[in-house]
Amino acid sequence: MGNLGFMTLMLAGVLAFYSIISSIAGGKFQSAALTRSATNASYITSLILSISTICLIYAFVTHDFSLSYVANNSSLSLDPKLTWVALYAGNAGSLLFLAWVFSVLSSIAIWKCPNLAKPGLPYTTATLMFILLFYIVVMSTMANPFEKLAITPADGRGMNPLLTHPGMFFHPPMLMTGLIGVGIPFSFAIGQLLSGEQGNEWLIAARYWGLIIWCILTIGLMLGSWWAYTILGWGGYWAWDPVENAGLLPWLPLTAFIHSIIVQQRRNMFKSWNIALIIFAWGFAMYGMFMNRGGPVPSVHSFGQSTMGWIFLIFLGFNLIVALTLFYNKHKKLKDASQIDSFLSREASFLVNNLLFLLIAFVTLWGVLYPLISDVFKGVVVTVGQPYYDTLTGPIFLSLVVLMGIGPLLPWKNLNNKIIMKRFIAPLIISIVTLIICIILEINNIAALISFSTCTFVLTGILREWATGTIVRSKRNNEIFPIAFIKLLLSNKPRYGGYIAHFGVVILAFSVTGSSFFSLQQDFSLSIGQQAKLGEYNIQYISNETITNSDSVETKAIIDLYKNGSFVSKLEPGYVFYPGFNMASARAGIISTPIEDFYLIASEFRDDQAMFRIHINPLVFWMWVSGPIFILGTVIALLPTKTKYSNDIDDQKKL
Amino acid sequence: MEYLIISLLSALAFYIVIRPFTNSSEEETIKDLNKNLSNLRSSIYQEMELLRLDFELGLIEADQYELQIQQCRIQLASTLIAEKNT
Repeated sequence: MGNLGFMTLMLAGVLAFYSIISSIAGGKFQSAALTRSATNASYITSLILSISTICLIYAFVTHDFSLSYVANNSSLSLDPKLTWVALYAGNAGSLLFLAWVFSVLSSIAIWKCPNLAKPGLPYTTATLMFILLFYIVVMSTMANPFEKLAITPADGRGMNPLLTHPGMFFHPPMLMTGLIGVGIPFSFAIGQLLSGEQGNEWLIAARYWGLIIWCILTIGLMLGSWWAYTILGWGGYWAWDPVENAGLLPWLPLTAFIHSIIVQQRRNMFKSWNIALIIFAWGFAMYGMFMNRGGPVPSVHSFGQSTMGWIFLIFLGFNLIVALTLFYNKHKKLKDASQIDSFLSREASFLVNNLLFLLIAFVTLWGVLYPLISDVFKGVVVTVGQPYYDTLTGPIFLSLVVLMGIGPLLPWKNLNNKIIMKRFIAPLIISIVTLIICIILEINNIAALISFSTCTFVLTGILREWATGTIVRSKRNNEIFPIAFIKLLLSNKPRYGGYIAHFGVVILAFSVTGSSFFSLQQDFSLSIGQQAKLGEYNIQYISNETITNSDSVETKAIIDLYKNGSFVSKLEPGYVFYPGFNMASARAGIISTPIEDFYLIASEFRDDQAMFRIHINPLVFWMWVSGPIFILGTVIALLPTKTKYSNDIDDQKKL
Repeated sequence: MEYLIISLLSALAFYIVIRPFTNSSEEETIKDLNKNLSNLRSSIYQEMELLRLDFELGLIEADQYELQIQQCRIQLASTLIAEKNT
């Protein structure tokens, strides 16, 4: 199967190369046959790469240790369920996974390309296939997942133990799909620039793919936080790790993009800006790939043994130079049809939103790059840690939440401030009431007070929009409120899907505020039988246990947890040591409730003594609730809108 | 076996790639054009519906509403004429 896998990889490379040449020629000479041939080549490329991927999965299932990748990332004792994780557990396999996912997404993007975007499709196809070809070339020359060993070992090395977590079934594939997927709206933008079209032809496809990729990236980032929270054993969910940041960086301009594209659709503005945003997003996504594959900063997320960062850096540079040159040459043709009339209008709020997202992106980028710059140019090793990011990005994120409340209440092209006053009164009153309640509840932290009252401001704004819309619909169509509400949501899916996603952001902000400003943490050294107290919780160290498995040694403490004197649960925090990897992975004991999480880590076991760290993290539960809300909002925003008028009588009535 | 599979896959790929050069595409081009116009018409109706809803919710002022609806009507008329001509 290894030979077949490699040969299919080569065939996919040839087809991708043909597709590039044929689609450029098809676009240049306006040849429908050449363009169709290129399109067909791209479809068949995804089929061939699927076969290549199946070959690697088959090699894992049949324990074909003659393949170096299989021998290094699995073993006979590996749980068969983890075969899927093993596929992308190493550098070469993850590249194949990326290429396969990208080829499938590209085929769907080409197949479902809206008719309006078809003039630029040949160039879009060429760009997509160029990106794909890069990955195939890297695999076939530097990281071949089908490389054979001279001597076949009897057993494999096994999989990195940090990856044997349920979150790993989805977090890496989601994040990788999200990063590479940014290439799709980027390719539509390049297609638009190369085709010389000057309108909004690419917008439908770019919006659609922008939203899908944004949703995938969001899920990937949230699953990563959940994984970090449950397995890394430090009690937090976001560490501003350089590679973690590399996943966040493209998410920021992409979020800006899915907002500002609405302005282009609605008011025919921000044409150049939208293309610039998607170029930024793609640049950051490739920067993420570079960091992951042998970038200069070591991280828990990177493929430690990979030294191919430089090739990704060259690819990043090449893409940016070509895209920015094209943008510079063509942007003058992309003239906006209107301009911002008032700074209290919806389009102005979108612009500020975009600038804030970019500001966070550049602050984060600077935090990642500064230690490198300092090391190279000054010879001083500097660490940029959590305080830098929290201090600088915290207020900007809070400003974004405020803007998220204000923006939807502002009318388009607003020239009448009376409307604004009318819309702002209810949210303002409710947020002031929240502020007063928080003060009565003795919440003294200024940032938390601002955050909680801002969250209620946004929430009231969203509820007000829904209520007003429902009442208007109900009166107009004589519908009962629940029906009117559902029809309202379906009447403008992008808008109301967006409001649901905003609702998710409010919950996320609520959770981050609670866990950032009100968490407790304390270390205890306990002997068996001893107790420790933090807040309302008591723990008693009952015993410890060591279990020896074929590939690991698990040590855990047995703990009884009490809250206000009542027994809550038995916890078994500890760690698992993997001698084959010389690596330990923590197993935290977590009791999660909507109010707070009790989080217990055990370490340094010596006879009847052990060290314990207790975290009490308020409102973390809501962070995991916000994820499904984001997905729901995005799915609603993506639902197709059918407005079919099948006969001429209807048409004339409309006219 | 592996060589047989790769040969079959290569032949399939070759057939699919050269197929557009052997088929006449004129009929498909007209079909595409009609579909384009029909989609465009649908999107204009959709835009008009959204404008109406925004106007009723007070998100857009009366003069702007009239102006944008008028633009939609002009676009719609030209789309209908183009559709009739194809």
